[in-house]
Amino acid sequence: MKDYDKLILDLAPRKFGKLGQIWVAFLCLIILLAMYAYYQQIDKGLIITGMRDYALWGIYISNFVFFVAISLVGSLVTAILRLSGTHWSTPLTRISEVIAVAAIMMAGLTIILDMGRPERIYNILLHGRLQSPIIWDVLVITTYLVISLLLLYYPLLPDFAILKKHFKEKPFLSKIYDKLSLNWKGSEAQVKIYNNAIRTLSVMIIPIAFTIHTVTAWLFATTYRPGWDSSNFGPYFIAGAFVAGAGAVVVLMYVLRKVYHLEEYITDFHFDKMGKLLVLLCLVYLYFNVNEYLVPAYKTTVEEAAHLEGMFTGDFAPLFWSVIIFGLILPIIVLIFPKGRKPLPLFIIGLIVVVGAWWKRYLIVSPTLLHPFLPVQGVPEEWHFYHPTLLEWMITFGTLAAALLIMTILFRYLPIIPIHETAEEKGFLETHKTEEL
Amino acid sequence: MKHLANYYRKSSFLILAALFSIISISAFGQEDDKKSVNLSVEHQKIIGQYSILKISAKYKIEKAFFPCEKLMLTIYAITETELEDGESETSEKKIGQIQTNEDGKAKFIIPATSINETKNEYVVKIEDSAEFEDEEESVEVLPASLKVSIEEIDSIKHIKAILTSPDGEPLEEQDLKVGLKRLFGNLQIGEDESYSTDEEGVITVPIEDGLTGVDGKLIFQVILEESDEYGTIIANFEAGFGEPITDKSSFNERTMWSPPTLTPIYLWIFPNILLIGVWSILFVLVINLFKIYKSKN
Repeated sequence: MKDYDKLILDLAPRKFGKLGQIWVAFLCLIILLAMYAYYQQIDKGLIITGMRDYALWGIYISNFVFFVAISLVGSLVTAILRLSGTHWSTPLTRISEVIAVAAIMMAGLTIILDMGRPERIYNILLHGRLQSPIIWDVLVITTYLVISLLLLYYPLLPDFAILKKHFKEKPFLSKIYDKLSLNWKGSEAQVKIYNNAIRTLSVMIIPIAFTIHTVTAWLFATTYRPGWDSSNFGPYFIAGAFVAGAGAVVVLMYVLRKVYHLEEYITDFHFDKMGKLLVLLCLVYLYFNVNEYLVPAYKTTVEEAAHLEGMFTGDFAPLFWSVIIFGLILPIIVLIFPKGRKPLPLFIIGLIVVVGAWWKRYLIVSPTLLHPFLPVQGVPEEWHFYHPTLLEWMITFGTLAAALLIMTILFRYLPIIPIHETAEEKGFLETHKTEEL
Repeated sequence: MKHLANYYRKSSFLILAALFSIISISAFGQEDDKKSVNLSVEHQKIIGQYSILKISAKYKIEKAFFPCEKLMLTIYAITETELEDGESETSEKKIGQIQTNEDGKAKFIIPATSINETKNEYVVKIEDSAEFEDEEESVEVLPASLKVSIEEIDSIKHIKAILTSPDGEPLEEQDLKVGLKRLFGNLQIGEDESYSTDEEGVITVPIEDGLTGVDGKLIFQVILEESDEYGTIIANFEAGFGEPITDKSSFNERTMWSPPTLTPIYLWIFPNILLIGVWSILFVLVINLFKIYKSKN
């Protein structure tokens, strides 16, 4: 029982320290700056951005695709690994689910930020056409958000019941945990419903996660443009999403372990496993990248050639090769070696992977728009290029900060590592066995 | 006193000289401001309909031409009357006015009363324009007749055009263009861009099969273009042997590009089955949360 108490003490949410408070204040400041920039955008319109007739999608849409990509990690860690009989990922399930919820919420918000007249969003419901991939995206994002919320909430029920007791001396907090625990007592009937729900959600989230990112890929692939006109785009996006998501999990694993002293629960073993998983995902994604660039390069139609030239040797070349080398090839080389899968090197690689993943989305969106099949007539020369404005960057950083703030707040009040599940795994509990996540 | 009178006389002379100079400078200045216009006039006769004057007015600044917009032009018909002594006298009769559009162009329909059967001459004048110098341009054309018919030679349809003078004399070695009227211009009929009339004033051009038209209607057009003697003469001929164009519009069909009310049925069925299926399960899962909450054991 002593071990069980220690486990709860170790894993129960803790107040922010000085560093935590500074971190939250910093995020709030960025969000406030973004709100000011967005006010400017509402007031003056999208003219405040660098988007024009050529680059009609910019860093907002790159950011949206990045968020959708990151959100897929929820399905990877909690569902795919679980259904394949992997148990080492248990301490990572909550981290990945929190990432998924925060990312998908911000993905939805980012789309609204990209709208010139956001107050007309209700027209999507009134006049939306089921023929349009944009409507599919709206439907599937909403569905994925609800599934992700349920998949986060269900496994928390036993933990809330534990926290209710743990925070007895803090009546207000205890009362909230009590409400959230929905009278969880671990009874046979409750466990039965709980297990069924977890199993159902784990199965459901996989096709929905694949759908959400496939539909996002179709937003591009159904548009006849160089660089997007590919039947490979769905799997290519999903492969990239898993890389980005796994990178994000690795980064958060390291930070949370360090900040909340979770070395006993998130061990080198977990980093090693995540490192191996990341290598595999990077290799798959590299394979898709070779397909995406090599086949059009071999055919070299006039339009594709202009697009690829911009990437390989033109304006986008430094960014393109940085993303490929640092965001894909370097992680594969480093993580092949056991020393590369130690926490600190893996954290650095994870960080590079996430940053690379963001820029990769930028490279998917912008260069293609600047090389249409037919030139846009009668536009000034400067509209042939896309340079995001400061206000545009402020809004984009605001959404990233908001996602981090959601994660920070959730990690402040939720156990980062599932307490009940860990206790069951360690044999501390003799109750009805709940479904492992 | 004499000194004072001298002073007034000198002053008056100086004031008058200054006034004269200012008026002269301003008058010449105004004259200098007026732009010289390049005027062109083309006579166009559409057989069985009307005759028009196609006018274009433009001015030059440095090396570029600009259209004379909203410029009022006056059109005169020149008539020649024979005097009793055998000599002839020409007189101008104003037949109308027209204003150029923003491209500096105007089409003036010649009144039927101003069209002669022998010779027609018209003058287009810029008169008293504040912006442009006075200018005039004349056009002189002889009347001619252009008749178009369809003939079948060896089971192949041919378009036949005869160009004659008003007294029926054939006009040979005149280049005629043959086309089929389309939305933005003429589709060339025959292999050559134009055909020269023979000694009988005739051209015969084979018509290829498979020409399409709304309800099978084809409008052929034979044009004598910018002839020095006859101007432009256009003759239209309507035939009904074209292949009817059937309306393939999918406006009211259920397509991928239709409005929401015309979504293809399969796109209604399958996504809705998926949505209802998934959301039903999600609904049950939310209900299950209440079941957990209400569970007694």
